[in-house]
Amino acid sequence: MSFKIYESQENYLVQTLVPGTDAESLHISVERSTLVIKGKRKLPEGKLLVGELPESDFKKKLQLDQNIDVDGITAKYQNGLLSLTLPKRAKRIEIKVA
Amino acid sequence: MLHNLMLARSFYGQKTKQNAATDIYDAGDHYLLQLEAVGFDKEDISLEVTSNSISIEGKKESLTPEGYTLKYGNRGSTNTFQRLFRFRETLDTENVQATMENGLLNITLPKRAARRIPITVQ
Repeated sequence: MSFKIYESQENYLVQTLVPGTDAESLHISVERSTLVIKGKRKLPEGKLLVGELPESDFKKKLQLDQNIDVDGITAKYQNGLLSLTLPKRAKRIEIKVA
Repeated sequence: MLHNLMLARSFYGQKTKQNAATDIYDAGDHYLLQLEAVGFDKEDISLEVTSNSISIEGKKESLTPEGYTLKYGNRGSTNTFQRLFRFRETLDTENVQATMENGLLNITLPKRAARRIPITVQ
């Protein structure tokens, strides 16, 4: 599903859009090595004429890489944008030659 | 489902514009339009309403987080959108209301009550 994945030296940053969803109705978990994001968006009253927004009751899955420190995952939610920081487990140690 | 409403999505070119997904409801005395505008501030969005249409435009800076490079996903795809919707029923343009909540732009478009014109018989 619609993810954006960024990488830095220490972390991956996973961003996904969940427009219309309250932070309270978002549930994030790691099942085995799969990141699962569940959520619900409240639907307004009325007859739907045009429906382009994603399903109101959604579940997004992302297979995680081996080198991710699952216990270190943190989540931030702001105005429909869910950002997850996934720390890399293996730290590369560079040897400097003097 | 679309008989009530004409979508003019191709009115603007689609090549460089990302179209924001939109739901539209008919709630009797008003229409409710919900447009995906995640990451947009209200200052980034402009609305133009006529008696039978609304055009919505959003522009914002690209937001690649500092220190990161994009590995997967669309590059800078959600920075600009332009949408135009036409309605069959006349809108009460004076009382259109727009709010932003959780990345959704909610626009309430009241319908103008039909004006009855009495016929005087002489």
